Amino acid sequence: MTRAFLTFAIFLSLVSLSFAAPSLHIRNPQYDLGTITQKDKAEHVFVFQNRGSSDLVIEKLVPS
Amino acid sequence: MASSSRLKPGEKGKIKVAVDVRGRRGRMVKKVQVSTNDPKTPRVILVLKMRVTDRIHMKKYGAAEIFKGSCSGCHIGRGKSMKGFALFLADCMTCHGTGKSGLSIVQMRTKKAGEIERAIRQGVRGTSMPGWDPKHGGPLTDEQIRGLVDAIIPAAGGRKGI
Repeated sequence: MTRAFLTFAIFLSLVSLSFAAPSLHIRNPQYDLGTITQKDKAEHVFVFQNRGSSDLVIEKLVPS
Repeated sequence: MASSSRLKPGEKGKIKVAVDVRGRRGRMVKKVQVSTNDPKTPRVILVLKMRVTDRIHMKKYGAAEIFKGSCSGCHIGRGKSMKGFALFLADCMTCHGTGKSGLSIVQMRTKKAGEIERAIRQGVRGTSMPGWDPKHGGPLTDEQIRGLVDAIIPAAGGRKGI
C-alpha cells in the first residue's frame, strides 16, 4: 500500500515537473558597455522574465 | 542585485550588475552565474563587458594629489584607521600591487628598513610616491608608518609581516 502510494506520489511530482515548469528567459545575457572611463558607473540591468507556467525562483547569484 | 527572488509566470525581474572600475584599465569582463529552478537551464551566466580608458592616471599630477578629492577614495580611504599589513593591503596595494606602477613588496624587501621608512615618510622624488608623514602633507600617524615598515620588512620590528 505504502509502496503504491509512493509510486503514485513520485509519478505525480514527475508530471507536475514536466508540465508546470518555470522558464527563465533573458533577452541579452551578454552586454557590452563599450568604452567607458574610470569615472563612469559601470553597471547594467539585465531584464529577465518567467516564461514558464509555475513560479521561478532565483536561488543564487554568484559573481566571478 | 536581483529585484525579486520569486517570479510568477509571466512576471519580469531585474538583475543589476555593477563593477568597480576605479584604478582599472583595458578590457574587463564581469560574469554572474544565475541559478534558478528552471529545469531546462538551471544555470545562466550573465556577461558584462567593457573597455575602461584611464583618463585619470594619464595626467601627471603631483604625487600628493592622491590624498585629495576623488583620488583619496582609492588611495587613503580604504585603509582609514588600519594598521600594519592590513593597511598595506588596503592603501599601498592600490599602486604597489602586481602590474601597478609602484615597487612590489618583493622589491621593497631588497631594501633596508631605514630606506623604506624614509620613502614612506618623505616620498620618493621623481616618482608618484608621496610622503605619508603629516610633516610632508601625508595622512598617516607615526604608529601607522612604523607598523607599515614592520609589515614590509619583518625583521625590523621582530614581527612577521605575512
